[in-house]
Amino acid sequence: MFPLTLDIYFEIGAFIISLLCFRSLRDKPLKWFIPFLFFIIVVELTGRHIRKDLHLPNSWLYNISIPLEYCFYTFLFYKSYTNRLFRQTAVSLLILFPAFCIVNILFLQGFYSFNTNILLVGNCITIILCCQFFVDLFQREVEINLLVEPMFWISTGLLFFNIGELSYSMFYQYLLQHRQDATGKLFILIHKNLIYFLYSFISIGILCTRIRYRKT
Amino acid sequence: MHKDSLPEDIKNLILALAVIFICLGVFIILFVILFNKRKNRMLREKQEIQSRFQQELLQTQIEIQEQTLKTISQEIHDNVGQILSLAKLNLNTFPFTNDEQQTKINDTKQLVSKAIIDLRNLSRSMYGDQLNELGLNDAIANELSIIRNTGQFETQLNIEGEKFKLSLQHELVIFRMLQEALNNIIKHAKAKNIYVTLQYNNPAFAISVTDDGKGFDPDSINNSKNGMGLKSMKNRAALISGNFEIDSNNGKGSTLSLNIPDAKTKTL
Repeated sequence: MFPLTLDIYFEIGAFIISLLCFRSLRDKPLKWFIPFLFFIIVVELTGRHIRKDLHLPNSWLYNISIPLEYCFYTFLFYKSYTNRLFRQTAVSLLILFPAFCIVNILFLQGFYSFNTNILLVGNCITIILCCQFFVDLFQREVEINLLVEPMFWISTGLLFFNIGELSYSMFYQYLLQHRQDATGKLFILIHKNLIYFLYSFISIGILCTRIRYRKT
Repeated sequence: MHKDSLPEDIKNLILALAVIFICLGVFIILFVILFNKRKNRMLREKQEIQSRFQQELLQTQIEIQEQTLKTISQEIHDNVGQILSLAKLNLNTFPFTNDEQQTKINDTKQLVSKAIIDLRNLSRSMYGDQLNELGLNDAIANELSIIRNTGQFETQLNIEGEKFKLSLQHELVIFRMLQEALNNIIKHAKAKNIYVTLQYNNPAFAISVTDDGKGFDPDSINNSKNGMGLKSMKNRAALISGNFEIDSNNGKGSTLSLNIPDAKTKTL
């Protein structure tokens, strides 16, 4: 399992930052980042252990964790929106997306093979939620300093991550079917680079809550 | 080529798409930043316009109120005052035949005289020009002496710091706020002592009115439909860029204070 790859260190870094910012996070929905990031690290380490040490497929693990990740982000957006319509959209997605994941696992792609459909739909949903958040920001009748707005940084990270990953997940099913990139080198290349972006932006967002907490 | 490896053209296509998508993301973020900057600027402008409009509205309200008070004051002085003076004159020339009548006439003359004095005081108090004649400190002292003369209240005026001249508009607003505060104390507070403190701390000026009455809960007043006087005081304070504060608790008296950070230079 060791040495760990750089992307896991980025995730651990974000988790440590969230722990250090606990006081500023505790009254906000962002406090859920602490258990969430812990969960991500556990999943990554477990996935790595299964694949590297036990030499077993670990797709089933990601079939569980990826839907949970997207549900978490959807919940976070739901909490951040001020627009009623956007909140309703987020609630609908919180119901529809898990339902789709269950249907996909049970009837379409199975539990033990990697669920590319879930990844693709999750990417699209998160991109839409990010764009909705930006529109929601525009609609607020208050001055907003984006540099200290935690959700702006988190949304930016999520947008880059999902928009970048979408370029691959669009072809994922095709590539799997034709046994191309079976080792997943390109996917890992894109995914890992995007993870640096995502967790850096999440860390900045969490740190922003500390700046705002100190100001108040 | 290895069967499991990715053909170069597909790899390039995916990478190109990734770059294009990320560029699109960058474009979206840049757009968000620029739009937000513009929105912030527009919001600031809107707030400035609203604030200016609010100031003008308040100023107009106060001008109308002052004009109304002046008209009533002149009516009291010129009309009711004159009638009472005539009545007193008639009483002086009233032919009486016995001591009982004389006593009654004298009592009536005293009552009319008191009514004339009270009306004159009321007229002077309503008419803002006494500020011009007396200045703020003496006008306030005069108000307090009128209250003290009723025999129901003890009043005390403290003046701290070196006095400097405030603009007439400032003085008028301060004086009207003080009158409103005193009026509230007389009507609702059931107080015995009233303390007024003026603090000249160039260029800042502060005034506080304290009573030892039954006090009130400021929040309940703010949330109720009553308390027009306090709301009006807040509006007046905003008009002269002053900070108006209420410190009161049920059963513990109350203190109303107005603090104007830059009283010397600000004009309406």
